[in-house]
Amino acid sequence: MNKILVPLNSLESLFPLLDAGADEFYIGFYDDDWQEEFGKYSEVNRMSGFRERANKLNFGELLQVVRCIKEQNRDVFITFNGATYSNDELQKIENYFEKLSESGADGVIISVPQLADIAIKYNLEPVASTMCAIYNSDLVKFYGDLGVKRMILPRDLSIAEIEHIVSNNSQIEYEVFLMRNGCQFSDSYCLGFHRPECGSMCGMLNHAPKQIFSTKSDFETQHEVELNEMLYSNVFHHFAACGLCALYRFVKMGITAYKIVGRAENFNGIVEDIGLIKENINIALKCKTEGEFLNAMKMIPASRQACKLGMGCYYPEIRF
Amino acid sequence: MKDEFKKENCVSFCEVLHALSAKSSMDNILSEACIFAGYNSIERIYIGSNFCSQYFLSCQSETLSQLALLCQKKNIKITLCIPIISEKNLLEAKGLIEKLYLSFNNLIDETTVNDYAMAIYIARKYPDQKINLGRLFQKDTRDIRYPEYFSDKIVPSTLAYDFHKLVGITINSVEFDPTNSTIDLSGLKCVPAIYTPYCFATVGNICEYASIGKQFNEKFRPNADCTLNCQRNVIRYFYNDNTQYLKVGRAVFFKNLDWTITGVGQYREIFEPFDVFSNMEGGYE
Repeated sequence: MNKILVPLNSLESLFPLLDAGADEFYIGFYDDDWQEEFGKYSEVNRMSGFRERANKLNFGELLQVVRCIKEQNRDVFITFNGATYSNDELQKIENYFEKLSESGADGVIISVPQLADIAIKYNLEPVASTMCAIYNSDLVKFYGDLGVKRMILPRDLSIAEIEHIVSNNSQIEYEVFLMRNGCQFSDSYCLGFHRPECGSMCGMLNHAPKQIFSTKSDFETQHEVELNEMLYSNVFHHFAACGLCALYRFVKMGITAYKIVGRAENFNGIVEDIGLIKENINIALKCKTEGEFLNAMKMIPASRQACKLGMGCYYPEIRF
Repeated sequence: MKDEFKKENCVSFCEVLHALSAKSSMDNILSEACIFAGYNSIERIYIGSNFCSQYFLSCQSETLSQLALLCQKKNIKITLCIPIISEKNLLEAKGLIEKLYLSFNNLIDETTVNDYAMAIYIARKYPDQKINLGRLFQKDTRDIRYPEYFSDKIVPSTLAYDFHKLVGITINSVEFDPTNSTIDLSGLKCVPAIYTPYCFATVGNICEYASIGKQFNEKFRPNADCTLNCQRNVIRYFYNDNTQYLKVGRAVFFKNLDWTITGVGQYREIFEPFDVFSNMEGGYE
């Protein structure tokens, strides 16, 4: 419980991240063979479009890093969270799973239910990615019935919904998002490319020229609608997202792991985040009430900007 | 090329029924939809939502009853579309599904689901309902900003999945978006349904429109209760001279008029009358 799950992009990062307090790691990789076989637009994982910028390790290097992590007695999960896979791609992934199993990897983060069976076949723990869109308890049961015992909940669920899902299905281990990139849309159903050529869909929409059409043309309505749009495009999740204020609730819920996203993010920022989470978990464990925790907790360095109106929060309802 | 196929003409009133009914009578709406779509007649309509729990829960109005009566009179069949229901609305949504089946008598003869769990729920609780796999099952990348990819032929990876093995039910129809210029559906074992002219690109549980009029510190919350501002507002985005996006409710779409399908002999075309918004008042840029 209360583990900190962090992205790892190089062997050099391993020991500094362990020193900072990382408990578990997740790693993506790139593979030139995959691109050659399935084309440059095919994605083995969600960040494949950014190639080595997001996933610095090729598959061979990844296997070495997995072995090093296991020597440190830490858990490591490999991401296979492309939006979808063809039959040929699923077959190729099975080949990866076989080698990952031999290297000692603990599990794989999967985006489609078809991969659960294959992972289990190779003694890898299947972890349902946020790409599985587990928005309710029935979907928890569906994936649970496939043998998935650990699930990452979408970052666009409210705290109350997370609490309800967790209490209804307490036999499952849950991961929640805690730090760095916020998202305006669903991870699972944002189906435009995330590639460097054109950037993300939300970034494009936020900056595109636009027209707002409304059934009412009076000043008050137009003002409300236009102001709302300005805040949505320019302020909402403009800064790195943060969910630290929710830690007291998560600790009480018994959340298994807190996920720091950002495989392509700067290393020092991730180290800072780990320290902050660790410190705040310890504070939460000592506090008797949420109010006490919110008074005692450590805020992010950019708090004076990022915390305004809850626009940078994963879980704004805690304070706002 | 599309006309060479045996085609069933359908219209989806998902996401926009309240907006349409505020403008005109149901009879006129059906007639106008036919004209917009270029259909001589409509064989089936889709109601409900593919994207939004809140909109789905609003589907219990007098408007819907009027629409049902009209469909009965004109011998038009109805498909109920169910989005992925967020946790806080799950019980209420199941109650509404029951109510809709009962109140529409046998007019709703099939249901489109957008997630595995709902597919299982409907199949077990309502074994007479035919089940369609909704557009959220098709997760192939679609991105008109990449002409090389967009103009390529796509084989939807939905076709690779053995749904009968996964959820143990027989699928009546599979719904697709016009993601690329050509969609190869060879090997599909049931009738495909293609949405037109808009292709869904992205969606989330956080609704921009639901926040209109809310206090600053209550805006942009996941699956927030709302007053259906999505029926009164729409945003059009201009990517370049040729490409526009439209945000309808929680989802963003781009227009693709020139899609073609291959590999099947018949299909359903589901027309989405989103252009109803185009004669609203425009302004801010």
